[in-house]
Amino acid sequence: MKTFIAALIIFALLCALVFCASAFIKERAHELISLARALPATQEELASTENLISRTHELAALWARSMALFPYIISYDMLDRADDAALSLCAAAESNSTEEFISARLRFIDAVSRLAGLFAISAASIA
Amino acid sequence: MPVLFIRTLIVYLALIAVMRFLGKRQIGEMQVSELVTAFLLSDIASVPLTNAAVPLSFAFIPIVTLICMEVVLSFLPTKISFFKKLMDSKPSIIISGGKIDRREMTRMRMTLEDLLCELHIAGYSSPEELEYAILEQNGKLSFFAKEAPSAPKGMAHPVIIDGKTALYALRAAKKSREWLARELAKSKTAQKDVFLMTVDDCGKTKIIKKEETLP
Repeated sequence: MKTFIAALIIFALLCALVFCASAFIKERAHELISLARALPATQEELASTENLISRTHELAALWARSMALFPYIISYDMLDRADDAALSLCAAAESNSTEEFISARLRFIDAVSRLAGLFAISAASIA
Repeated sequence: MPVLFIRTLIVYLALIAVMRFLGKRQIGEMQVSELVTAFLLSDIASVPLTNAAVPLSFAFIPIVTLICMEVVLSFLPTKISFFKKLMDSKPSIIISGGKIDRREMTRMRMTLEDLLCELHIAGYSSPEELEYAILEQNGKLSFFAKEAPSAPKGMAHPVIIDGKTALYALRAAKKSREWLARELAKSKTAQKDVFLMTVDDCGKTKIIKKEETLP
């Protein structure tokens, strides 16, 4: 009976942990995506944006903070694409490479969206 | 390298802990669900050991889930009869009242060779020595000998198994095909009607016809 109750408690804790981890990834991904979406998407927008480097670094800093926690629950294979895109985004902002910036921004949004989708509790992610 | 070393230690210690949580049963005594869990555990645990890019949580979450489910599902049948019916199989009587139940053997996917093998391991040379043979829920066979056994002398060699000649047994018994044909003719039995024919080391034969077994 003791083992049964212990198993139930551990199972409940595990369920809570899984839901919390999933919620954390979802929330952090939405935060990252909204920051990335706020960055200029076209050459005209890029030309008219003044604080591009600081905004890109803000996104990179949030990604770096996420990378301190994500590896506990997500494999590096899954994080690599978004991590590459985040680095390319910073490099492009620093070097004023507009084409590279636009491409990296899209790749980052797509990679983080896929990450969020993968860890969301939904039929699609389970399948 | 140090990461893999530490990860291996952690996974090993965690596995030992969860296996202790599961209970003290040995591999041979495991139920089907326990065996499946054991196979899955070994596979899941190896993933983060071989790939440092995979977090330990990828192993721990499935391991803890499996163990918890195993404990819960093994406990419920002890308290709720519905779960007992759902989870537990029933013992099968393979030999009943000295007669081999062929239908039950087929249902259990057990061949006559399997039965003979188990008999020999248990120290019996022929099914004729037994009143009952029961295939238990844990997959082991229990044997109950007849009170006044007509035990064969030495080894009872199964020379015909399910209508077919077992040449290896015939050779071991130092008998020929001609002798076998003579014995069958003596007992006025066609070979195809024989379920099991044995001959012991003194030459005493015993024929169990298919019609003598439970259908």
